[in-house]
Amino acid sequence: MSEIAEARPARFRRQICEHPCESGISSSVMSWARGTIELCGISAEKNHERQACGVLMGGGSAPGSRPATSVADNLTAVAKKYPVSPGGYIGNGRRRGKVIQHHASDPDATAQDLFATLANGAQLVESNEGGRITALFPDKSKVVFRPTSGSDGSPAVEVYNPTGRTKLPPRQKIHLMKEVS
Amino acid sequence: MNTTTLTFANAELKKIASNIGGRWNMRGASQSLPDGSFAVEKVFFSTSAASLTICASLVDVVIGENPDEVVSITIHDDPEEVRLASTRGSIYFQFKDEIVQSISVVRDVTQRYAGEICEWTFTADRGLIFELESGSIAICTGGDFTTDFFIATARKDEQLEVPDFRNLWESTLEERFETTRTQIPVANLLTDS
Repeated sequence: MSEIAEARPARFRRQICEHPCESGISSSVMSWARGTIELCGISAEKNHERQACGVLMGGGSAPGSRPATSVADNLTAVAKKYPVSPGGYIGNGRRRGKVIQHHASDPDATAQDLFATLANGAQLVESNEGGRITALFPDKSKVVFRPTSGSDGSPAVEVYNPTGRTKLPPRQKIHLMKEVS
Repeated sequence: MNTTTLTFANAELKKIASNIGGRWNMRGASQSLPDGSFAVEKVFFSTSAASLTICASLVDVVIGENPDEVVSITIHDDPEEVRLASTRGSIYFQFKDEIVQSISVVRDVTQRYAGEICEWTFTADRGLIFELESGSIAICTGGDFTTDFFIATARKDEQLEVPDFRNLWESTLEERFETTRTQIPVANLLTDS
């Protein structure tokens, strides 16, 4: 693997994998201090455009599957792994306004997996600060990954669905909390 | 009734207005999509008068009973952002050398109703619209909750689609949100102080 030489926060670095993924394109690997998300970079070397089409290491979209045009297109995949309420709120904990708690044994890894599942098919833009990543879909719906949220420091995934398509609410924030054993 | 106001300060409006009559140079962002239509946290624009960066940051608020965050935008001189964007090739020269004929502030006013009573008024500037000789550019936040910007352009014979995400405010049985948008020429917002 060859590392992209860019100034990054200490916790966050991005690498381009030299091995093609199953769709035949090179994949980029986003690494945090405590976990790794694998994302496939369509035309990454050509125009720096990145498109998320994978989940945690070993994941990836099925060959020949239709690319998502909205975050709502990924709700079915999310519902296979996470509780989704009838109103479209994701998480197993209590909801207060637009903020939902989801408890997991490894909140960081779960946040990365949830983001990668929701961001499947989106274009990614990374923040200069704080390790934040925004995934934008063609219909302008988006998913934001925050390694640490402002309120309590837990990792958070935000979902914005301005089109009102399907059962996803217009916005929600999922805070990933440590599971109490 | 509670109010939250996140609008440009007069000093910022003066900096913005100083570009009127100048020649457009370029716009860009260090962290953006390749086509320049979307960027996170910062977008800069440059004219013969000044180079200014629109920055987005989150501010804590309480909406009803619940803590939440909304985005605030501010104007800065940020040569580092211009340098980073230039280094990464994320700069765009559409309308270069055209006169900046006017600049408007996009201002949203959101009101939260519980029943028929307005309990909270939130006034926030959401972006800028530049009128140039042969077209226009809109740089607006992607709604009230995230630190990103959508950038739209149009020629004179086209309709400028100003990014609009007001429908992210979701009304329920308990609360109702109404948002109105105005585009105000920056000169009309300037005060003498």
